[in-house]
Amino acid sequence: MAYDPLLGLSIGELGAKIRSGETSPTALARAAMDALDSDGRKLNAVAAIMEDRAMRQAERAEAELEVGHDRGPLHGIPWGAKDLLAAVGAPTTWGATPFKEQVFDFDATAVKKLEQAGAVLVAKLAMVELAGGMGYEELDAAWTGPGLNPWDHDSWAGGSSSGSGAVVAARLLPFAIGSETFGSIVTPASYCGISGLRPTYGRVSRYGAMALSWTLDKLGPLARSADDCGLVLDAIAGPDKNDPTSAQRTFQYPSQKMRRDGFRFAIPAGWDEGTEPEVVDNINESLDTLRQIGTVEEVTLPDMPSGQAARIIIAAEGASAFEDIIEDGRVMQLQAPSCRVKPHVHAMIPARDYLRAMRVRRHVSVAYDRITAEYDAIVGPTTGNVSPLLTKGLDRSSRPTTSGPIGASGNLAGLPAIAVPNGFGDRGMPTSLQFTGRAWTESRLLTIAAEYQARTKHHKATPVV
Amino acid sequence: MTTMIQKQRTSTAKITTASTSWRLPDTATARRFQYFMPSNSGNASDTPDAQDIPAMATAALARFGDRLDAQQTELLIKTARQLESAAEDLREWELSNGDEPDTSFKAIEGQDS
Repeated sequence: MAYDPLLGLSIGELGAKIRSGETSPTALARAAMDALDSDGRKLNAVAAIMEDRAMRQAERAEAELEVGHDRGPLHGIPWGAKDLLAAVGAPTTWGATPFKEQVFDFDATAVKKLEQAGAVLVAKLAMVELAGGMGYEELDAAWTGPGLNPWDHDSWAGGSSSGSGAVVAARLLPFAIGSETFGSIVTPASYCGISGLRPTYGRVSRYGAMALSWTLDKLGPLARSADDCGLVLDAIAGPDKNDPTSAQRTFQYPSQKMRRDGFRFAIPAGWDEGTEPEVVDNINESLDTLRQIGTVEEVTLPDMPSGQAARIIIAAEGASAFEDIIEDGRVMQLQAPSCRVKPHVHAMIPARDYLRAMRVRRHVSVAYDRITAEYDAIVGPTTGNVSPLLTKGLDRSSRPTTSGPIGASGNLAGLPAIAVPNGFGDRGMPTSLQFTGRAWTESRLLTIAAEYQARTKHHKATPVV
Repeated sequence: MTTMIQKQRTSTAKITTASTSWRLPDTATARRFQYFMPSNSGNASDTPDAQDIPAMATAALARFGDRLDAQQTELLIKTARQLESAAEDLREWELSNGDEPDTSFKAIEGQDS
């Protein structure tokens, strides 16, 4: 795939080149927009290119540097927002036809914070319609078409942050922001062979982001490396009076007092059940690497109905969040045939079932807090499979390992996780290693992932099409 | 999941009320269920699909059924069964009177690290 080699650099490397005068924020923004307009659109990864806003921000970033005003590591770095973040300068379509003309006159908090950090927003990125909350079964569930994987255009980029995963993997942008309710950051990170961080619930304000499930939605970065994810999280984390669920906690990356080894890892018993053989091989190899910086022991996770609770909660909250389009019939305009139907029954979930799911959830949270308190990270495959072929479709009942063995529990408990590439599997598609930690331990997870990446080269692999 | 879906659920709404014919809440709802209705007045047990339409599907079809064709109705009922199955699994998890829902959910407090 043709791209500007500069866009393949890390945030730190790009920043150094900006400051040395080898490139400039305006040159980078232009290069990124050109790449997105050609290769990004071929991947069905672009919802809108924000030329006016991008050039205005880039020119300001350039002018500031000329007078010595440096906003930090993201200054002048181009980025893309999943198209569920409100941003002035382009429609915010939520990936869905009924909202194709939707325009907001304000920026989401995450967008605002990145602007304050000097980053240059160049595009809104394609996503599965309504973040997949209507229960999509088809891989083309977006008005932009199916998200294509840069490693193989006949394969899926993952969802629901499809465009965010694809453009970072294709080296069209250094980083993007995605969202996760249940797997929507770590799955595209896994399928596209990049790093993706799902922060602790409440770490990042969701103000201005489309709500699917108020008690599960999280925003987080997708980037080339764990280190880059840390730099981005540093910019977007923190309390926000506009989002009452945002925690009164500050976050700083890199953390100065973080240890670099002596970690205690756990891998869930039975993690390899239903997992593709190549994924198993690569995880075993990763465990050998992790033993260089710590110990690995097997842990038996409690058998809890986490997946069932998550399903009920997402369906019920999603039906409430989108009650208007269910009631007035606009839901029938959604792209995926399954998404036109399922919300009608999601809207009928009895209150007692929703409340029971939320009561069970507390037990899950307590149980997983106890487990994650014992270890620095629970490790395992991010997804038990590589990216599926577009012709194969998405059969939810046959992909129990997607999001990893503790995907459901981790999301229910609001736990942070980071996915990093760890090799290649079936059809030469990327595989991924996931670290899940106790709430608020992003710094530790980022350090661990960075140490892993310092000992491997999987995150350096670039798709060639 | 598939096997769970196929289980008979005790809380599933039974819409059969007569031995030789079906009786539904009203004619409008009956029309929505046409796809699953026996074509004649045979024994209800001949049509297991129609016997255990979950209450969620009944309610959804009563309210929105006009929008849906036969294939969509089938998917709606399948989805309701899956949700019912998930809810049934949750009901098997023992809760006491004092177990409160996480209605103001936040991650459990821990140390920043």
